[in-house]
Amino acid sequence: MKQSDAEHIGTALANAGFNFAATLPATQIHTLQAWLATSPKFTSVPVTNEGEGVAICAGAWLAGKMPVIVLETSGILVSTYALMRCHATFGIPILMLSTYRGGLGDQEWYAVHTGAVLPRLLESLRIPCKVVQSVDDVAATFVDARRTMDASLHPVSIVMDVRLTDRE
Amino acid sequence: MRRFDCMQALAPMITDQLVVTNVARTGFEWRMASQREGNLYTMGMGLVTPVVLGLALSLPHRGVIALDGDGSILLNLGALATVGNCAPANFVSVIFDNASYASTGGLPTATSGRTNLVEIAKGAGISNAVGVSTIQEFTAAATAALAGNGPWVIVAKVVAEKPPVQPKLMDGRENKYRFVRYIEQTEGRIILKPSIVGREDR
Repeated sequence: MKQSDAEHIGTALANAGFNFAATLPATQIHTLQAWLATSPKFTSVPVTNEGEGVAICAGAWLAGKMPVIVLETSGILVSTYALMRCHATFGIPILMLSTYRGGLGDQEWYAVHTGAVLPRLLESLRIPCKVVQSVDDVAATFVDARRTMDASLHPVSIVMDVRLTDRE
Repeated sequence: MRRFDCMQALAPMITDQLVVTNVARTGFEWRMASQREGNLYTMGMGLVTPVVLGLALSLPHRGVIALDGDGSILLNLGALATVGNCAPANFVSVIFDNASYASTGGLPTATSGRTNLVEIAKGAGISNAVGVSTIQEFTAAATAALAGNGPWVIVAKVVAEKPPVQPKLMDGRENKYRFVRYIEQTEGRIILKPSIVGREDR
């Protein structure tokens, strides 16, 4: 992700009310994760796996923070137990801002199967999802996500298409 | 040493701390020892410590306590590394170590063999990691931990047992609402925003 896009997306997250971020480095979004780590607008926590990360975000929400986990596609698979046993069971929201490894146009053989199952995985977890392709769309989408989180008390997913994460 | 004896020793020390418990009898027993709105019971296996870390980082002025178990923390040992690196001074984890999955049949955990949770916590960067095996030791460690200078991990060696417990009659959602309302009231902040109608912070 371009540095300018990372700054734009991070600022849009803050403007939408998000102020707590868990991150685990990923190739396509490390610039955004680095921006969040140094932004005074966020409490940023580097985690060891995404399941731990979403649980930390649950604690942050209980305390009044508005949490986002910034993760790669496979991290959603890693986090499913915590999402169901913690967030869905207790009714705790979180924004999952992820890449779309294996999405249309991603030429990485190891990501193909993860990308293929992602839409139905999120659907089976009853997590509403929107795929964004342009950096121009993120600000409004983050506001929408926060409103849905407040109303549903359930996780929300925003998946960044390769056209956004991989553009030069 | 019995887990419930530790809880009975801990309960009178609690003032406004937030407490999150492990599944099964840890949650039931803590409710029998301490009924208060600042308790969140029955967080899932492996999730207690990271949830409490999120609370600790978001309310750094307030004590937070995890009542965890050996089987639970073994499911998510990476969380101890994150605690060690974030190093919140208000974080306390009590890991009740009965060396078994006592609530689900009693088969042994790794701590029944060569695994030492105190050494793992220290290796994760938590210098205030202590092991206790008597009520006197537990009470002294809990008193020191609640005074601050965390993060603290207290590994309490307890017997594996399934004592009779009282029913909670409250599911996790009701418990969550009451816990969050308690935080709203004591912290003076609004957390639950189910509708934008009439709100200025839309």
